[in-house]
Amino acid sequence: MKPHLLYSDKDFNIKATLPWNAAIVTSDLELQVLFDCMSAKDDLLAEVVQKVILTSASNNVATILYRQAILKDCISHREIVQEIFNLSISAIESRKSSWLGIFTSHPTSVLSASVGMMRVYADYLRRLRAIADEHYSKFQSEGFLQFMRILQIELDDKYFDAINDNLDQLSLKGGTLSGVHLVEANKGADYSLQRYEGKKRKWWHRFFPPKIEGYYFNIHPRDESGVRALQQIEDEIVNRVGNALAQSNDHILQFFTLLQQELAFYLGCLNLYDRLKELREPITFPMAVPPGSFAHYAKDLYDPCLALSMKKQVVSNDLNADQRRLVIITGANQGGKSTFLRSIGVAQFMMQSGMFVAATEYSANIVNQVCTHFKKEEDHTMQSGKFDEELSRMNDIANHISAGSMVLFNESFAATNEREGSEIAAQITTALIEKGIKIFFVTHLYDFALNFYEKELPESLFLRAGRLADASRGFKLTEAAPLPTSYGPDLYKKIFADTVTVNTLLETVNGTK
Amino acid sequence: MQFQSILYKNGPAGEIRENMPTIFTDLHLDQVIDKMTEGKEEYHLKPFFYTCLKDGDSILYRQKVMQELEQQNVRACIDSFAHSMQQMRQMSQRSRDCLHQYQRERLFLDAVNIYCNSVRLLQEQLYASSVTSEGLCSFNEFLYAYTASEKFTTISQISEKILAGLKEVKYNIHIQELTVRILPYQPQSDYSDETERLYDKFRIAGVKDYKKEFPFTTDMNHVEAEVLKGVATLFPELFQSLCEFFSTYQDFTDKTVKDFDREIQFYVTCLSYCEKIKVHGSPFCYPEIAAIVGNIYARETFDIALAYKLAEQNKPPVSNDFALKGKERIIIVSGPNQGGKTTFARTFGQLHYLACLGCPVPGSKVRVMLFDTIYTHFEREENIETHRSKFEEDLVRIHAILKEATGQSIIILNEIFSSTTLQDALFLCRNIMQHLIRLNAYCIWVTFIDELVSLSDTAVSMVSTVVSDHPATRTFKIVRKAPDGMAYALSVAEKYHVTYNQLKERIHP
Repeated sequence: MKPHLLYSDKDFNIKATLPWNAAIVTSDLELQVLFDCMSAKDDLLAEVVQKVILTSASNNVATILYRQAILKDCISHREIVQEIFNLSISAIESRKSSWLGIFTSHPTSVLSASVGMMRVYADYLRRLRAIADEHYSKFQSEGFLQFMRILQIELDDKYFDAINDNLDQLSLKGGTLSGVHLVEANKGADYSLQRYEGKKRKWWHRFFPPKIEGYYFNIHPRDESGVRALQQIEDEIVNRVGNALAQSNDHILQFFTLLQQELAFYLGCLNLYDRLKELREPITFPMAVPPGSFAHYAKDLYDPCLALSMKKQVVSNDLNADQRRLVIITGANQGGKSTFLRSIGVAQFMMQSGMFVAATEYSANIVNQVCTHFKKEEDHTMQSGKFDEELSRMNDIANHISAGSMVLFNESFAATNEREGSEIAAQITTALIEKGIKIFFVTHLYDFALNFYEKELPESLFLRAGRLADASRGFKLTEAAPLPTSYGPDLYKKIFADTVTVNTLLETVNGTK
Repeated sequence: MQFQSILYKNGPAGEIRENMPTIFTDLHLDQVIDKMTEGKEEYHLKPFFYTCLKDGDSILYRQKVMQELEQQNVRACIDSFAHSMQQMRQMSQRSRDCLHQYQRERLFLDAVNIYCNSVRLLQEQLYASSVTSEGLCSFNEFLYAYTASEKFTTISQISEKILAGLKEVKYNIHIQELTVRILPYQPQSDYSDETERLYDKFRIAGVKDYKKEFPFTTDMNHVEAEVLKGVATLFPELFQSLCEFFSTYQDFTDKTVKDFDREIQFYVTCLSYCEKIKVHGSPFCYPEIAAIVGNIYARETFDIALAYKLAEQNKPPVSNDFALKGKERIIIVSGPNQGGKTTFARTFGQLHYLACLGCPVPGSKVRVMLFDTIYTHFEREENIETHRSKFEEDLVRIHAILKEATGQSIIILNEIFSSTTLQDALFLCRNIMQHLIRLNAYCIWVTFIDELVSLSDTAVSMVSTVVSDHPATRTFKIVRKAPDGMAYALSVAEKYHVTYNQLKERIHP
């Protein structure tokens, strides 16, 4: 009996190892902002959404569709989903209060604690099935329908009657009855607990205790060693049954834990859904294209992390890059290039996790890996210089990528001069696209960008961050050839306004060009 | 002249800053100070490193003390004093934490005793080693007067007397079921000795040891505490005097002594750090401090943060020289990446900063300028919170620096505007160069735009170099010569197997 709400055929593994570059990607794409919004300060949600999203590159189209359908159900019936989630939490929490006995070495204590625990779990299971009974008809996704059907079949009334009977027996109210083998030295061994149907005690037994039949002896309460010996025999008798019941408790705990973890992902999605809705930002369920072809189409694509961090609507972009494997983005500083690059990366992760994406329309091929190569601050461990470090990171990426991967470059290879940076960037880019890797490359390396533009490769696309006539930045990207400047003089003029007159500035500009 | 402080001849001139100057991270001085003060947190030394001296006299005062502390015998007596003071503080702390009166008083007594002995010892040893630096001489004179003062001698004598008395106390304890009795001591032989003797004939070697370890601890449970109360009733006068001592002499330490104990650690930490580097052959020296702008130079200097890391791997750092004569002000550093350019720029800053703390500096002969402020600009990672591009941030910060700096400042720029196009970077660097030339401050600028040198005769060019037959090997030597415009980027790409041909080979289809 498994929840199977993240995969139709397997369990979610919260211990799965993250991809080699999880930390890099998280930092480069500012994914922590997304995780924080989704988790809403809940540690479990935080752990689950991070794990699901960062490991999403291994999902196929079927899994993505499976989750999209479940997520749509969650959006329509969030109170029911929340109720199931809360129920799992209470079930898991209840162990903390009922499970103290497990710390003792006495099997009798293990057994009695297990009985108590199981009564609690049985109650939670009963309530879970009641939810399934009541709401089954409202759900549409394969995942939820299958889950509820299993609850109804496996947890029927007869099953709960059997549990009750079992626990009554194991409470040992009528005493402990056991089969015993006589072994070496006439010792008792191989104890096995027997079912015991004891006679009901009648009210008159209080005044006229029934005669005890057969041979018997008493241990004096103050005979401590005697009391201890008797305890040991009881322990031996219930040893196996105590273990079995305790293990069953563990299994049920695991079921609730999985259920809680798998739902946590969808609750995280709902948190994000709410927040984006508040910001009046659109979302859409993307069309995931199977690997093998290059597809990338977006309408009103924006960076949800930026929107969340700025707490307002942010500029969006359109992209029509079907059949393209190389997209080079050039243009004005602060023209939204990095943001656009992040929005591509974030959307890819969200799509492959089975989530909605931050756009009004979106389709893209799924990739087997998303790598980011973003410019970094000077390394303070003194192991290597900046350019060396950039190429060292490129080396790490090359160690892991293959055909069908995607690499996002942000101002890479600029830590040397432009001529050499352009050469290195060109060599790397050419090799990667020839190997079937999709590339988005934000760059100031004009030589590099122009070089590719002039090659007129059918699989390449050039976007440019524009600026408006009044020189205040527009963030929209347009399809356009690279331009040989990034408008540095504008910013210089603005920031150095107090020390430079416009005239001397213009002279210098003319002097340079 | 009366002794003020071992760090400040006339007491601190201004405020001692508690927060780290921003340049520390860029110059890796944060790493240096962290390493220096590691394990010495109780002295709270960082503020002394955060606060620069502003006049040559104060610097000289420290240099003299520092030089004297390089002598083995002087260092040894400071180290043993510091150790005793530490013990004294621990003992006082335990006394304060203690819940039981008679134990609390005893721990206090021990702390006083350690203090008196260590102060007296320090005075004797400093006298014997005939110190000459103004700071230590003056402190020794202070100690002489202090240890002869009535307050000090009284505390010392009484504590000795009570301690001697306590060492003589003996008593008996009697436990019956749940009854424990404390009785006057009756001398008898140890019964366990007798028992051992009794069974001695059965003794064999190599049996299991059933003894349980009872490690000594000063912690006391309430039963022990009750026992102690009983003991006190047996020696009422002794315990009464202990009690009085405790309440009378709470304030037994002297502020000047305490301050000295803390402040002298500034020198000790600094010297220990330098010694770890020195043993691998790199020199340190006491720099000449130029009060007005003039010639500055350094021979065989190096980055002390890097040198320390290398020393841990038993390697010496590569050293470099520089000199700015006459009107030369700006060093433009260019050349192949990974050639030690940033390290060189950092060294320049460290050198000046350390010199103004009165510390020894890396190098065999150094002359630096007494500066007012050091400004650094090293590239930072883009910050989504400020919603500003890196490029704009670069400009804003440079602007702030140029606005504040004076002709007495030191400016260190490292690879600015590398996030923009060559054309933009050229334009901006030329403009900033004009500002710098007007400012006439000492400046070191790491850049790949090596043509900046030609803009002024106050600028000189220094270039990182490579081994001539093997361009991928860096020498980490930065030499004064005209820029050669070669950056050897492809050799680095090859090293990481990311050239076109290498990538085509290695990536899986």
